[in-house]
Amino acid sequence: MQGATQMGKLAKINDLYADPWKFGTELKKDGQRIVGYTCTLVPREITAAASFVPFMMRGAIGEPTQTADLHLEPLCCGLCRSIFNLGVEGKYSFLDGIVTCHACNNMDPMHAFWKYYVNPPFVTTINAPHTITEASLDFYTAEMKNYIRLLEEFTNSQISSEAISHYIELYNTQRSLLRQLSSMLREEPPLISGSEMTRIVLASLILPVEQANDLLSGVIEEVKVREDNRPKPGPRLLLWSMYSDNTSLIELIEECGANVVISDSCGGWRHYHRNIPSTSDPIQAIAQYYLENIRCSRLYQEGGTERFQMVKKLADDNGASAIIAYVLRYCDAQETDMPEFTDYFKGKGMPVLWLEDDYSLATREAIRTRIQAFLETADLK
Amino acid sequence: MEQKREQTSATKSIGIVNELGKLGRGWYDYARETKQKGGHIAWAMFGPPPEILLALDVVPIYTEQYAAAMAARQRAEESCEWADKTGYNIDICGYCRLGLGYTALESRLGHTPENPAYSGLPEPDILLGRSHCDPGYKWYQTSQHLTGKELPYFIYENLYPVPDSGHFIGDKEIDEQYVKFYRKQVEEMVAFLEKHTGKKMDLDRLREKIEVSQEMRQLWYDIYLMRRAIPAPMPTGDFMTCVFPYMTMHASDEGLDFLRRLHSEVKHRVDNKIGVVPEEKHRILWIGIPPWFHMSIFNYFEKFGGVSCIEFQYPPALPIDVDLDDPLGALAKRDHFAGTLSQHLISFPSRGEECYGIMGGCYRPVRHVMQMVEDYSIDGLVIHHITSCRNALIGHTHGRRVIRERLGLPTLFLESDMVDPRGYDEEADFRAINTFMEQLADTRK
Repeated sequence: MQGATQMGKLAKINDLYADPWKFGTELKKDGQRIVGYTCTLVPREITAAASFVPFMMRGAIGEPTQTADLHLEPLCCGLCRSIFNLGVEGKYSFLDGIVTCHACNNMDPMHAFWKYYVNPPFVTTINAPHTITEASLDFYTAEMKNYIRLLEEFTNSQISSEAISHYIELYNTQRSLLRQLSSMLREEPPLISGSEMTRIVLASLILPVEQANDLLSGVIEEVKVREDNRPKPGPRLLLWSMYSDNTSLIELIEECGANVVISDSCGGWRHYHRNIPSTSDPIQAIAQYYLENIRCSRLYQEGGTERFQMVKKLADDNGASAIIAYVLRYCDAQETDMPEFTDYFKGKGMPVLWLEDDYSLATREAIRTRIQAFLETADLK
Repeated sequence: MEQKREQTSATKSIGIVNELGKLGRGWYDYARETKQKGGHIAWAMFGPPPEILLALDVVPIYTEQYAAAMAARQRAEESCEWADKTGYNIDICGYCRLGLGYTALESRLGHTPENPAYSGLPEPDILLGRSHCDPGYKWYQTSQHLTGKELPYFIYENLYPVPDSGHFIGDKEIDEQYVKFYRKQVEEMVAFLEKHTGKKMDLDRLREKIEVSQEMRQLWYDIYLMRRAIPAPMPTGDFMTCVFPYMTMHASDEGLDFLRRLHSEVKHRVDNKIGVVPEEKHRILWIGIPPWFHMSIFNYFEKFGGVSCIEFQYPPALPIDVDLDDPLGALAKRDHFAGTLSQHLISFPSRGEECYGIMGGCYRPVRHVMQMVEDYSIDGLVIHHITSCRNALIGHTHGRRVIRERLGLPTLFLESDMVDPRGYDEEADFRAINTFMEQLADTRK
């Protein structure tokens, strides 16, 4: 990770990444109210406008989940299980609430588990459509209003349109700052590493937005001037995955001598690639933004394999010459996509390494061997 | 461990169930004939209103049901193997995996695979998905890649104010939101089908189809209630087979005819106290999709005097009155208040009702299982843990625990896929059932 010469802001990022639960507990002691969420589709702007800190929940990759295993069957997503395990073990006791989403069949019932076994004061789930149509946009706009109404009932105070617009502006600023940082990965060699970028994104997702933006601005300045700890040249890769709440895989890739120059995941690009437009109807703008821009396998996109052209463009724009797809076991949406995904990129002459894991990376050394072999056989060294 | 099983098809209790093979072949023949006469075939997931399809001469072929039929006829293995070869992970929904494997095999062969159910899956003109489970919208997106043919594809999103979300059916804003959503969707679906069939929707014809559907829903619900009788008139194995005419042939005259006759037979059995076994000793609630390749497993319980008299999967929708002056509005209201064919809201709680968590099967609350235990005089639970259906299985461990704590009911956990027979160990299941039945017998004393 960082050497002795690391500067303040990046060190802060590393601290936040290493123990978000400690930070959450400190935030709570400082008097902040915090609502955890488990999907990028949950609108942070509305949560913040209700005077809560939106806190992206992470699991603890590789750690046993014995407590969760008492209540939740093994044949389901390891990430959902890990987050839930941390909940029942009290690691998320600082949360005032939790918001999940109709993201996938694994996540769908999780709010009910949280309600039954952890019982934070506020629990809900947001019904997110899987399509982008006039009907689904209207519906999702209404869901945003439902979410607002529930928060208002919980807090016994109104959420104004002005407050929502204010937080749209602040989170747009954050997205812009993250895009600036992301552009540093386009350099050869990149000015920051893929693992650093992911830690930066994940840290920004647990901070109050004002603090996050301040920190991000400081990180940008530090990275511009630092001379130590810069990534070395190496094969440039795009990482394609769903949730992505840790840097374990990216660090492994970096140990093999490659650089993840763009992460199309919920620990990466999906959070910041566009801004929410400023309109006279901020709730509708939020609904449209989240529905149209959070594009992962759970969103139905038309056009057959051409739906992957966005990923191809992302790779091209960032100078990536190959893709590593990290697929969580029991993710029907991404697993069903994978044969088509690999066929598409084969047709485009872009190598794909398809890695499947149960969220433990228990076969870490075997994965390392596969990455090394991939880099060699794809002539990416 | 691969085994040759002694009994590969189930022994039926309900006489009319023996007609279903012929009925099924008839439906698929009807689909092919309709297409030859200028109609269309849609591959569909349960969810989009079949009334709209039939009113436009679009015959739905439900590929989930086809997968079940292939499994029931012991023809699933080859398609599952082809799914593996094509790169589809074994954890993916069994129905979807079998379907994709079948499509991959057929594309590779250039003709229908050998010995399929119903002479094979008819080629579709249109695709209709749904969204409450992930394979519901991914399956047909992917199958087009396998065939190389892009087809018109519409996804009917069935979304519901789920238990424990803070939203309830009956809340004014929620009802307005969802009814509006379904209304818009049925309009979009009609426009989509008109475009791709070249036909104009005849609202009178649609009304006729809805009337048929309404009666079918009422009959199905009545049968569900009649099955509370002691002795149980209809076992789970027969019920699961009858899901074919209820769902696949929904809103058709043939489906209605079958349901009327089924209703008659069940009523006759209730009125004359005709049970499934000579002496009914134990009443079982079956939770989960059955192992379609091994439906005779229900007969095994019967050897001990145990009858699976009701099941948690595929419950009926609550019949509600609809205003046929506005048929599209009627469908929208019904899908929200009662549920589509794939999501029956009979179990959803009202404000103030405790759920005790969710036990799989599309957000079904554990509370509903507990209610069924009481309504159906249940002695024991069998939880069939389908290894490839997250939608159905998440919540089984939790629900079992809650029911054990609150009701003290003996529970048996069985595990297999719903269509993929590979790796299935019949002897292990029989041993587990033997122990369970002894436990029930001890509890009875």
